[in-house]
Amino acid sequence: MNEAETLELKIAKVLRYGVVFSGTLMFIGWMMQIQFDSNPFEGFHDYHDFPLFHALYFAWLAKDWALLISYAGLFVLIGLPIARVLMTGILFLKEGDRLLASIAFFVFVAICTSCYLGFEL
Amino acid sequence: MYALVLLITSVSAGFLGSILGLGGGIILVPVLTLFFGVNIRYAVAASLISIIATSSGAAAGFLKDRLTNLRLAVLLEVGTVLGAIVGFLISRYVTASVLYLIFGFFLLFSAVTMLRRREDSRASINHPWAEKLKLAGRYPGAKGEWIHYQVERVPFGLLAMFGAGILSALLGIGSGIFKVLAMDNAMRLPMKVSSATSNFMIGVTASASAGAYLLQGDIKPEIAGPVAFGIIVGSYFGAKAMVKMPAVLIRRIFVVVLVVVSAQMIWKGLHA
Repeated sequence: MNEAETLELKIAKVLRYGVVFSGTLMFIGWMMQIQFDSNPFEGFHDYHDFPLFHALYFAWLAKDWALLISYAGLFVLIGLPIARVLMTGILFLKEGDRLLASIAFFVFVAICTSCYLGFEL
Repeated sequence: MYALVLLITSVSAGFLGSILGLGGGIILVPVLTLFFGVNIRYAVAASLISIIATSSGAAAGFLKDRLTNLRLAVLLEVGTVLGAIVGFLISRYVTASVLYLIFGFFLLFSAVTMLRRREDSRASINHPWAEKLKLAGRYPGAKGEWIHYQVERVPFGLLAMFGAGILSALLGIGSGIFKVLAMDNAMRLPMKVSSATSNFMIGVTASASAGAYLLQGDIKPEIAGPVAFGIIVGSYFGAKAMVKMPAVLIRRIFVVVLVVVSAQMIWKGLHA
């Protein structure tokens, strides 16, 4: 198996185990905050503008570990495809294909820009 | 009680999606909005999480099976990611009623597409961009032989991916249907390669807007948590059961359900 094929398999493993890890975190966070006798969606009928960093700040102050663990799982999950794009760019560099590596890194930068837009707006 | 119902729904959505070759969004967004009364923006954001979960899990398998055209996926991701960014920016100005209408018509389109037979047509020539970027590939046949294929109309494919990216960010779907249509019909890739490459790409498409929605605070763990977990579990069992299930019958039943739900979403959009 050559280096490129090894890296492709590594990408596959990162995705597979990453999904399991993030799913586990989200399940733990959900189980810690679950309430069987109430409707957890009552507060989500209407849309409220409440940026992530406010939610994290208040969760940290209140030591709401359930929410923080859930968010950790979300970060891992969303990070997986982004990491996959970066690893694919490195794969193409190792194969000597600079053009396709540049395209992959462009996609990586575009995704990071998209996240920045969510932060800024 | 509600949380348990959501978990069961998510597992079912993952299971059905796996059998029918769909992402969870097409099932989850209508259920979250029509049944649980969740605001459509939160539903779209949570659905994107489920898309990433299913895509990342399945992509691993497709990579190992050598079906995914990694080079083509990277190129087409330029279109989908830019489209997803535009879709996220547009979403701030689109009202909930318009989102319901777009989603309703998308469900109708999906129902029609699911009834249509996919033709395994092959490209006879390589587009010049495909030559330059070495996009032509090969995949393992049933008897273990390598089957070679070429890629046509790359610019059209990129444009189609841009549109798919916009819809993904607006509606919380993977837009796999549009991607597969573009790769099957315009770029004339083999069906197995289209499906595998599309599945590989939809996670990246979803993450482009999911990251933005997360930072904006629209992804709520109370919704996304059980949804993502349920979808992962459902997809796993769906993939195992796929071989034994009567997919054609399930597909026909699902088309009827899609049409009914489509009518409900359009109704809600017109009267919201």
